[in-house]
Amino acid sequence: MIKYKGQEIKLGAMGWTAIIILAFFLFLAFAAEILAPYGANEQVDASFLVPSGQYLLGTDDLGHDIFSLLIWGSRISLLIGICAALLGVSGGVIYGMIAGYWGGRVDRFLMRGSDIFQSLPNIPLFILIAAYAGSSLRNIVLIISVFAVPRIGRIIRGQVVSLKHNAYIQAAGMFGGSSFYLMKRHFFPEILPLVFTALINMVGRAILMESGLAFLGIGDPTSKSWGMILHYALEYPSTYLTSAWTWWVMPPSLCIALVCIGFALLGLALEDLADPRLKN
Amino acid sequence: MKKSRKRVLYILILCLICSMTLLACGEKPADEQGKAAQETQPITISLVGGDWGFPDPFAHQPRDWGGVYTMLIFDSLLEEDESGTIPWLATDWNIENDGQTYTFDLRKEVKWNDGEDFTADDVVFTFEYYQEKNHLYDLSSISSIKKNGDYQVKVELKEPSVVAESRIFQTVPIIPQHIWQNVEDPKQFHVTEPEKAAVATGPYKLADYQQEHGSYKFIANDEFWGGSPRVSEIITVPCSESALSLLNGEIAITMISPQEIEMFKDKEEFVIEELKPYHHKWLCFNLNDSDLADVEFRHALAYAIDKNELLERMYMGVGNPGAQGGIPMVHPMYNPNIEKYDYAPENAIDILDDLGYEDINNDGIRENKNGDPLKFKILVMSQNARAAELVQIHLKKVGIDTEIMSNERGAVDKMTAEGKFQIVLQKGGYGGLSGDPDFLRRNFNPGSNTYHNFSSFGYNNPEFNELADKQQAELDAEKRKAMIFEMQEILAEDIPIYYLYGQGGYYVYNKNIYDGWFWPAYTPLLDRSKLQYCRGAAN
Repeated sequence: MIKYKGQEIKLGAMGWTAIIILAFFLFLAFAAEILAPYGANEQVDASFLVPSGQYLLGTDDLGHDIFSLLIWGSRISLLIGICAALLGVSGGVIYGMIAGYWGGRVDRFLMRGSDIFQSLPNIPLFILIAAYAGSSLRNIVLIISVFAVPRIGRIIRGQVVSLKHNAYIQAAGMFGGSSFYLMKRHFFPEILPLVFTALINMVGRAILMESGLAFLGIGDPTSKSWGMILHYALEYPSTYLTSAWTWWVMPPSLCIALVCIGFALLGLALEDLADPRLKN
Repeated sequence: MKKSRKRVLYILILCLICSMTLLACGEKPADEQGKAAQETQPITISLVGGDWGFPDPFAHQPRDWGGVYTMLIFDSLLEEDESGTIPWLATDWNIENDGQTYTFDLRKEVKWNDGEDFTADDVVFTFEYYQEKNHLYDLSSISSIKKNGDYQVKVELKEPSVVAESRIFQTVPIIPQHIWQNVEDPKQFHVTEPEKAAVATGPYKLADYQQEHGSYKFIANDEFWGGSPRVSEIITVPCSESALSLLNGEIAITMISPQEIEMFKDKEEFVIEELKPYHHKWLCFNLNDSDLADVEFRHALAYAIDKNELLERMYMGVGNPGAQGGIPMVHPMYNPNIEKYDYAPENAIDILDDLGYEDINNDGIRENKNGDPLKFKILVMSQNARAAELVQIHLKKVGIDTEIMSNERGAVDKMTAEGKFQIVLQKGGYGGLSGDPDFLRRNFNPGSNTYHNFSSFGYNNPEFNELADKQQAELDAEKRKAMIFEMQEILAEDIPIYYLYGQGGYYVYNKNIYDGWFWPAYTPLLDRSKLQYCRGAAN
């Protein structure tokens, strides 16, 4: 049973499905050392072996065991997702709190900035930035999180603005509470549920984004994320001429889809927690 | 209400089915029409599209098809067919003064495609104008060019050269004086006067060029001095998967990788021609790096990398392992007696031990003399990252750590030119590694050229430089060959560049569309010369 501020949260079938899916992948990620039969960079055998007892999903063009790659990939993909989400959401919270709390010109400036930022098409911009800044894993995480900041900032700002006019906060301010104190003591706890759901939604989004970029060939080419496995599988000239796609293309695509569904379902299940208007 | 909506839906579905059936029916007759038409109508060839710039000598892109398209319209003095160099705008040529003076007799009764006569003035003007304005063709070796009557020109080189024939006279497109003499900015001329910029003597005329679509259309020049060309129309079409486009009959010819060749094997209309493995992948070392500067250390790297395994995994074994003399194994001037550095990790380990690189902290990676781990950065473009990963695995086995740094083409080119790298993995060479072996001089003698993809960084061997300069003036073929063999020995000993493998592959063409393809004597490409398209009717 999950409780928040004394209130019981009902997850429902949707929530539990999400938790099962995500727990499975988290388990894979944490126990990769034990579960993966081979290392992520280990060249185990000839290239393009078909699935067998020894190599459950066969081997890829360089002779890596695809099954092991998938397990190691879950660690990298989840790590990317969580890092990008943490960075993006913390940036968004600061952005939104500043805009909402100070209001006036600062608010207008930040919100128009957010408008401009959100109206820009993301993918071409990503490609451009990755080309100039270099496409290391760190840069990809940074790009994804920076692009999330204005969007999350806008959500947070709305909440802060509506809280600002509450009498108890006004009072705390008049009794000499500093801005920092007010934010920490009064605003932050109130927006925490919102932050939490934003975080969950963002993880799935970031994983999908990274996979999309990797699929396009943008990203660290030596990383072993699911997106990169997919990229190399599709880049290989004859993947679709043989049945190799069933064990080289399908499994990573499925993993990406499942994890994203998992995060999306969890986000939905926790929505009433985040949105005060949905509370009974 | 609901009923009428349903009805609309039914009608829509019906329409859809009808249109699909119509489409399906429409395909077959069109196909048959095509076959019937082929026998009677002139030949049209479609090629893989893409933008290579406006096809004039100033605006085209220096790579791949840029020059090829330009030469469909423009003519050079000489050309190349399966027998070697042949007369083209020049009917005859004499080499005198130990290869320093070239005299060309020009073809008479040639007309520019705007009706003007072609004379020696145009040739003289072309070379002088290029020396002043064009950076795409390197004419720095020419000291003077004079006309001798209306149909003869004499070219003086600064120093004797046996390679001018192929390097200059076969490649430089001749332009009309009456068009270009008053043009100040030739690079932009095609923007304002596209029709004038494409006035030339060649077998084709530019009918259409759309930069944004990367599409070209060339039609036969009926006034061509060599008779009307066999292929009467060459167009380019966009295709993302050239193998599939070829399979569907959308294009006439393309290069195919070993992985895709199965699709064509049992199909009667496709002819498969094997490609000579000139296209290489190689590691270029920065010899200013303290570890890489040591030739013994480079020997260790050479033994540690399994070239055959790389070729097997990356290219299904179709090709050759790299030859370390700088000349590919399939080249007629390849020296088969040079050191091959067959895979021998135990040799690499011995050398590294002797040099004092030992694994002090037992982490599997050796430490250098300062106690730092022996680690190199390998710079690659992302499409070469897979090969770099294999190199990484091989080097790790002898205790050398590597990190793969991927960047896009422009950044990689810039970093390598400026020497901001340790090791870079590159590829290329169809044009460069198949021609006259003078490319060794240009690649490895630092006095001869500025940096390009094949150059070694920081390599300077006086013994090699001297030979390199001597061979280009040596007219005795046997003596020259001996020098070039010796140059390969020096390079194989020094390893400024480590050649991983030359990849083969295939040309596949649809013989129902066109079957006039031939292998030129020196250029290992089937679709990149105008002779492929225009000859036939002419002879």
